[in-house]
Amino acid sequence: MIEKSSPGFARWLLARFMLREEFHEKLGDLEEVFTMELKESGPVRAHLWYWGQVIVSIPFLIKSTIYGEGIMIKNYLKSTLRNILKYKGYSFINIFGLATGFACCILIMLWVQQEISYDDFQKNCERLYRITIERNGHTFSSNPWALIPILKENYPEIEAGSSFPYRRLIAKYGEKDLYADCRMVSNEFFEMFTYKFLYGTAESSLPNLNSVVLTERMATKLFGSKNPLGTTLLFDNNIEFQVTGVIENPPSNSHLRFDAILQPNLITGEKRLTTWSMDGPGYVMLKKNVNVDEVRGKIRNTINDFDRRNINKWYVGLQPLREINLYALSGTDPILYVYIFSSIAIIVLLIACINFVNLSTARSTRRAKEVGLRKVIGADRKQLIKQFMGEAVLLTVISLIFAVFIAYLLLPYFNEIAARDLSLNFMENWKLTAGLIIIALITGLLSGLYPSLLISSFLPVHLFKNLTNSGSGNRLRKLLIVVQFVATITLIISTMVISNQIDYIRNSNLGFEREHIIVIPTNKQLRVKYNTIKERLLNESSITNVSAASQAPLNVSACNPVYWEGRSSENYEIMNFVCLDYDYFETFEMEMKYGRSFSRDYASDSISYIINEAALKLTGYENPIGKMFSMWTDEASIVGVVKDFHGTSLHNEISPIVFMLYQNLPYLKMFIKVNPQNLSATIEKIQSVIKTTVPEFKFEYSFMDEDFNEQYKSEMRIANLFESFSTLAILISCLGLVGMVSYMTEKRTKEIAIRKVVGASHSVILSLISKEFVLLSLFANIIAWPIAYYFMNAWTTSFAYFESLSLWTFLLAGLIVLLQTLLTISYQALRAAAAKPVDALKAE
Amino acid sequence: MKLLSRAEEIVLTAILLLKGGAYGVSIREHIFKVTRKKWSFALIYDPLNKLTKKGFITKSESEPTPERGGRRKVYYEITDAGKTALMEIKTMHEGVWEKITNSILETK
Repeated sequence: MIEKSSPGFARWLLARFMLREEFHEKLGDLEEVFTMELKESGPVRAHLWYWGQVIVSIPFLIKSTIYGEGIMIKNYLKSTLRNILKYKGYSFINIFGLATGFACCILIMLWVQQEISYDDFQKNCERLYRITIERNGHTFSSNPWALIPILKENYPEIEAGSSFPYRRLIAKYGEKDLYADCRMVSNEFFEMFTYKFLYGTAESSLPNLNSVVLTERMATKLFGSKNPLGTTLLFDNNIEFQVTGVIENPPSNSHLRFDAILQPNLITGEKRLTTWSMDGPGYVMLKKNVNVDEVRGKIRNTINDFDRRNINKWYVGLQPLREINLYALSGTDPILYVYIFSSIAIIVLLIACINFVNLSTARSTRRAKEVGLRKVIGADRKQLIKQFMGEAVLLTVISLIFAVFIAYLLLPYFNEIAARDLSLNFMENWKLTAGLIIIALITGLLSGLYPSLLISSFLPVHLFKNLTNSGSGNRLRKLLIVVQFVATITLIISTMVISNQIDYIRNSNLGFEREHIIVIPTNKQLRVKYNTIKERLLNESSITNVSAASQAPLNVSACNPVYWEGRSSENYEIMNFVCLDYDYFETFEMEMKYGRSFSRDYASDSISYIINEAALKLTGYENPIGKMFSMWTDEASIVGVVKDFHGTSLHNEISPIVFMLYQNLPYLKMFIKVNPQNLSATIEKIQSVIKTTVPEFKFEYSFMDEDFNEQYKSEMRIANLFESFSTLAILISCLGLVGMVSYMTEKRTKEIAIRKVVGASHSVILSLISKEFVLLSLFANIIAWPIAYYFMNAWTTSFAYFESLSLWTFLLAGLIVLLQTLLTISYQALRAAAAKPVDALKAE
Repeated sequence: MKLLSRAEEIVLTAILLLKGGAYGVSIREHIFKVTRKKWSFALIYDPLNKLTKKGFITKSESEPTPERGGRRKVYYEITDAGKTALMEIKTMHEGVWEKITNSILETK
C-alpha cells in the first residue's frame, strides 16, 4: 500500500543535494502540492508526480551544487596544499608511505594477474584437461602413450587428445645447428590449442609425420626473417623434417613451453607409441557441454581395464588446463603464493593507512584553529567531514601518481627477482587500472574517515582555548600501532622462516656429492661412442670420474613394477629405477650400506641389482645381499644396498629406487667429476674430446649444483620477493613511528622541559617517551607469534624435509622490532631530552 | 546588460502580479493559469535562484504551516531593479512585435 505521505527516499535524495535553508523552502513547496494532488487525484498519481519532480530536478541540483561548492572546493584545496607544504615531514611520510604501499600493490597485482591468467588465452581452455595418473597416493602428470588413443576410442565425450612429451633435439639447417625444446604431439594438437600462425594455418599444420611447427623465436634463429615454409630441417642429424608452420611466440603466461611441435613417430619409433611407456604429459579436449565429473568417473579405471599387465593401482584423472599453474600435483600449490603475496600487498597498504590515520588524528590539534574558525563562520559538521575526507582522497590520489612512477622504476628489479617479463601498461590493462583506482579511493575514504569524524567533532570553544584532548583518539591510535607492530613482526618471522628453510634445503646433505660434477645430455651418436669417450676423458688428470645414467640423482622419476623372493609377480610394488654405467656411485660419492657397488670384476654384475635403503625397507630383507629380485622380467640377485639419498625435491620423501647396469637407453646423461682447479680449461678439454670422437654432437653442459639450485628456484624467488616486500613494509612502519614519536615529543615539549627543570635526567626522559612504544611492541609479539606460527607451520610442513620452527626465530623477530622501535625513537627522544627547557617554557 | 531569459521573464511577471503572495506553489499555479502548462518545480527554482542572484527579487520567510509538513514558506518580492528589467524587456518585446499582426502569422 502506498502511504499517505511523500516518498521518504525521494526526500532523502533531494536532501543530499541541497543546503539546509533551500531544502526547507523547496521541500515545503513540494509537500504542499503533494497534499493537494493527494486529495485531487489519489495517492498513486501524487507519488508519481512527486518522484517525477525529484527526477527532473536532479540535473539542476547537481549543477547548482557544483557551482555552490566550487568556491569552497577551491578553498579546501588551498588549505590542503598549504598544510602539505607547511608540514613537509609529515606529508612526506604520508605520501611516501602510501605511494610505496600502492607501488607494492601495483607490482603484486601485476604478478597475481599473470599467475591466475595462465593459459586462459586458449580459446578452448574451459574444455582442455591434462591427464593425471594417480598411483600409491601420488599424482603424476606423465601418462602412457597408449592411453590417449584408448580414451578417444572408448569415450565419445572426448573430442580430441594429444600427448605432449618433451625431447631436446638438435635442429640443423645448413651450417646452423642448435638445441630445440621439442614437444611430441598428435595431429590434433592445433585443434585443441589455439595459437596464432604467422606462416601456414592451424588446419594444415601437421599434415605428415615429418611436419614440424616452429615458434617465431626458433624460426628466426634458424632462418632469419625469411619465410621458412617447406624448408627441410635435420633433427638429431638424421631425421628430416619439413617446416609446415610458424606460430607467434606463446605468451609467457602459458605453462606449455616449446620451440617446436612435431609428431613422435619418427623420433621414438612407431612401436613405442602403442606401449604403456610413459614419456610425458598428455591433454584431452572434451566435447562442449559435457559434465567433467561424469567423464572423470568413466575414465578412472581405463588403465586398469586395458593394460594387460594388470596394474591395478593406476587411476586416470583430469586436471583443468587453467588450474595447472595454480595447483601442483605434489608439494606446495602455487596458489598459496598468490594468497601470500596478496596478503602482503594488503598488509603493506594497511601499514601505510595506519600511518595516515595515526598522523592525521595526532596532528588534528594542529588543524584545530582552522577547524574552529570554519565552524565559527558557519561550517557545519557535514561540510567539515567532506573537507577532511576530500583531503584524504586527494592525498591518496597524489600518492597514487607517485606510486605509478615508483612501480615503473621498480618493475625491472621486480621482474628480475620474480623471473617474469611483466609490463606495466595502464591503458591496455584496464582491469589493473580500475582495480587500482578503486583501491586508492577505498584507502582514501577509510583512512580519512576516522580523522575527519574526530576533527569535525571538536567544539570551537575548546579549540581556541587549546583544550583539545586528543586523548579521545589515543586508544584507537594505540590499537593501530599494535596492529602495525603485529604485521611487521609476522612479516619478519615469515621472512626468516622462509629463508631458513631455503638455506636448509641448499645446504642439506642430499646423500651424494653435487659439487664439481658436469652433466652432459647425450644423444644416440654420442651413446654409441660413450665408452671411447669415457676412456679418453679418464686419461685427463683433471677428470677424476666419469659415469652415465638414465637420470641424474636429482630427479629420479621413472618407475617400474618390481617383485622379489617371496612375492609373486602379481603382487608387485612400484619402484623408481635408474639405469647406469659403472662408477655411478663412486662419481657421486654415495656410500654403500651393505654389499658393494657394481664392479667390472664380476661378470655377473651386468644382470644384478642395487637398491636403496627405502627399497630395502619395502622388501623387508634382513640380509639382502644375494637375494633374488625382479624388474621387468629379469630376475637377478641384489649385490648392494646404497644409503638413502634425496632423489627428488625435498618436498617429497625418499622413494625406493632400484639401480641396474644398462646403457642401451635412448637418452643418457653423462656425469663427469672434475677437479675444481682450472675449470674452464677442463671444460674445453671435455669439449675437444667429444668433438673429435663425435664431430656432429652439439656440446652442452651444466653443473650439478646449479641444476640442484634450479629445482628450488621458485622457492628461492618467493623467498627473495618476500624479503623485498617485508623490507618495504618495515620501512613504511618505521616512517610511521618516526612521525608519531616526533609528534608526541613535540606535544610534550613543555612537560619534558618542566620535568628537566625539576631534575629529571636524560635517561628518565628517554624512558618516558619510549616506554609506551616499547610496551606496545612487546605486546604485539603476543598476537603476532601465533599468527606467524600458524602460517609458517603450514608452509614448512609442505616439505617432506624441513627445519622445524624454532623459538629463536620468534624471539629474534621480536627483538628486531624492539630494536627498530628504539632506534627510530631514540633520535627524537634524545633531541627532546637534550633540548633546553628555557626554549620550551618561554613561549608562554 | 544581459536580457532576461523567457523562464525568468515569466517567473518575474508572476511574482509581480502575485503582489507579495508569491512563493513556490502560487508561482507555479499562476504560470499554469497563464501558459496552460504544468511546470516542474525544478523549472521554477532555477530562474528563481538566478533572479535572486541578479538582485531582481528578494526572499522572506513565513512561519511554518502544517500542510507543508511543518516547513517554512519562502515569499519572493520583486525589487526595483527587477521592475526596471521587466520594463526593459517589455519595451523590447513591443518593438519586436510591433509590425507583426495575426494576419501575417496565419498559415495557409
